[in-house]
Amino acid sequence: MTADHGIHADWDELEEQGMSARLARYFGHSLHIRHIDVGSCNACESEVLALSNPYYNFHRLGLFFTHSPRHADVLLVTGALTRAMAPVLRETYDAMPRPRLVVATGVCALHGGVFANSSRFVGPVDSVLPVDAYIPGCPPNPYALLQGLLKAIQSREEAKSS
Amino acid sequence: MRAEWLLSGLASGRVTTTYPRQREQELSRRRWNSVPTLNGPCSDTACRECSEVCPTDAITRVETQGNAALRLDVGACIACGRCVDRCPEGVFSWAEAIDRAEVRKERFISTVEGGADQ
Repeated sequence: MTADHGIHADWDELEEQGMSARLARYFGHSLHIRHIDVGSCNACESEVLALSNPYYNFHRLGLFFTHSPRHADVLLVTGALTRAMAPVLRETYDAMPRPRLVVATGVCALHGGVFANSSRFVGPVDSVLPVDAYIPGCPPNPYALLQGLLKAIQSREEAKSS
Repeated sequence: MRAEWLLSGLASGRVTTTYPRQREQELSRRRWNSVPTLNGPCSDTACRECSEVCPTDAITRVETQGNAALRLDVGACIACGRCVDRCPEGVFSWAEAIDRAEVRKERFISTVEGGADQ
């Protein structure tokens, strides 16, 4: 059985080296997120919005939503990629300044989920854009979203060092 | 309701989660039935229940020389729980972890080798 996802090991590693130091190095103490819905059922949106409520309060980690991809460091993609939204997603990605990260959120963005057999479904997000972190779940818990956003920064660092 | 929430926050000293810092404490405050995991090998090579009930084809059975190997893709699982309810062997159970984000998609896939060919 090879079901060990290595969650704890990765997380400890992330904590040891200090997330705020990483954020400072790459994004100047804050990370601005552009959320794009490419065909979601709004369950993921409900969880994404919960990040900014007083309980999860992701602003304390230096994460913020922004309305323009030109101000964004991270593109948070939710939903099954539809034919109509594929060029829009591409344009949004092209409008982002570098360095830029892409986080695929929810089973629909990762695989297609229950929409995988639809004729209007283009494919998983990583077939169109390079994805830095994957967040599974239908919908993913806000805790999972937080971890995914922090993992995206980790993945960028790993790619740079290799 | 809101006053109650505010008072409980004032009493405990905080209303905001400390999630990335005190991960274990935060997650242990609740039971999470987020996603199924594979418990062990499946000995029934004729049974197709799990792969048939799965709505997103997250579970696949690979038949090799009479053995049944199971493959579970958490990245495709919508946590409907049908496999946990329907499996007569109890191969699937709920995982407790909820923060399962990964940087590589392959890490969502867990496999179990086929049961011994007796």
